[in-house]
Amino acid sequence: MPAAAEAILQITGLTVRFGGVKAVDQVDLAVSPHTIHAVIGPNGAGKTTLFNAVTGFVAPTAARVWFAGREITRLPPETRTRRGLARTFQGVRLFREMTVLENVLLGQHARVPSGVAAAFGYGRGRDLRARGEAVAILESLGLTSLRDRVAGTLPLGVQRRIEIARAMASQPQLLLLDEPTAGMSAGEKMALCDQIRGLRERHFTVLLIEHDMRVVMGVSDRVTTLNFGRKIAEGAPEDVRNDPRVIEAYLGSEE
Amino acid sequence: MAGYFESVAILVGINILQALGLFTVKSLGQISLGHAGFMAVGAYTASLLTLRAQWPLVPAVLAGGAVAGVAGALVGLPALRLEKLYLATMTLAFLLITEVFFSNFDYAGGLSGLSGMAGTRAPLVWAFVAAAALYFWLVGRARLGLAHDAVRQDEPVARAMGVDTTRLKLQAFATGAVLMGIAGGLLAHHLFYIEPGLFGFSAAVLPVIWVIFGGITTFWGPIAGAAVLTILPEVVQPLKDWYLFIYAASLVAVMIVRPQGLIVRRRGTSPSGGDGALRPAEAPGAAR
Repeated sequence: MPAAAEAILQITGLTVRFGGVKAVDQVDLAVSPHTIHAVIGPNGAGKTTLFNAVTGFVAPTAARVWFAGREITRLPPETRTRRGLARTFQGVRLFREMTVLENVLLGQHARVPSGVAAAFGYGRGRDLRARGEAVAILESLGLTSLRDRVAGTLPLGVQRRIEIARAMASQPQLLLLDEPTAGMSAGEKMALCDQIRGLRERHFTVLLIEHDMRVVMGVSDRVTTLNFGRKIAEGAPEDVRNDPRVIEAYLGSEE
Repeated sequence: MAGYFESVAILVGINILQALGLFTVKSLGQISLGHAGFMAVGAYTASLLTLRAQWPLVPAVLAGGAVAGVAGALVGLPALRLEKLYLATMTLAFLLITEVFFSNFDYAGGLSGLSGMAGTRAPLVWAFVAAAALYFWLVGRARLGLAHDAVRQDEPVARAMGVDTTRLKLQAFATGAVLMGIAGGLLAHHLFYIEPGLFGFSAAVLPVIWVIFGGITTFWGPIAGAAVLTILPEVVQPLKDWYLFIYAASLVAVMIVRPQGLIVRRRGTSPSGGDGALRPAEAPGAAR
């Protein structure tokens, strides 16, 4: 385990309580820069709640969260995005009535002048450069031909890729992907795995929630397993796969 | 004094300003029933300035817009935490407060109001309309307009994009109130007199109808809505008693045929291949 100071995301003692239920219970997590870190666990293990707490969508009952050396525990979601977090959503939440390109342009909102002054021409150079970058991101994910199509009319697998493109557009230091391959065909999954590995080569750090073990084993540098809100195992993919507690958690809940 | 046609042109312009004033808020998916209150603030401010302080008309109208804008920001603050029906109720409460305030404001004539204001001419009104339209055109093609659409479509995700929704909502209330205030000042100096009842509930509801009738996906919608629904009664006036019937029937007809409003912004290209038909499977029973 690298020293805590090196982690780009550091969570200590995260507890999220919904009424009487502890969705996440005393979880510690450290994500190292330029790695792909997967969070796995059976349904209801608290994975998405963990994501929501990191991105500011859920207020934790107790926790301290540091990101890139600064504490972000109580910041609102838009401020976290400005600090360099970006996420996708379980079940895809694109702006369905907008075009593919417009969705990606919104991903750049926090880092390009976007206020009233910009409407009157302030920061025009930066704006145009960013538009070029948005087109390049679409290109890198094979979406160029769809840039002017309305996002909500496209197939689910394509929508997931658009969502990743939108998250990449903010040039985040940490990209959180919530079940990016859910509902995809085997071929689509393999293609997306390549793209996720490509993210690491381009020096993104990725925190990934995934159900498909083949995807997890194929892309992850490190795997954290949750069950009933608690962390039950953490380590390299091959170690976690053979960990009896992980096997029990999966077999015990899915049979 | 303005002749009949100029009078209609003035009213169309003033109503377009009101519709745009409400559109700033509606384009974020918010609703306000209190915008006539900002109009009252602008009308009274401008009128007091021209009557009591002998200001020229244009600075007085601009000052009315500025004071209304401050009121808009103040009303916008508590409104930040409210949604939909709660926001409608709160803004309606603000409207009632302004009405009571001006009814008891003796310096401004109390219940009987103020009279003697004059000077509003069509070119002045339409200069303001042109300036407002230019503003909305610039915003609509900029990232700010995209952010407005994002907040309206899915506010939590817009925040995840880094959109500062708090700031956008405050801005929307303030700019909308400025436009309402300018419309109020212009109306006061067209009508010759104002009284608190002029800015009551019906004045609050009309812009809502114009905006919904015209559509909220582009600023051309509110402009068209206000223009059509202001001119229509003039055109069908000879029908006397039937005029309200026709007014109402055309509202209902548009809402049935085009529920998104008269003018809808087309986005994107239509699918050229077959994959447009492959809509993502939604959860069973998730039809909304």
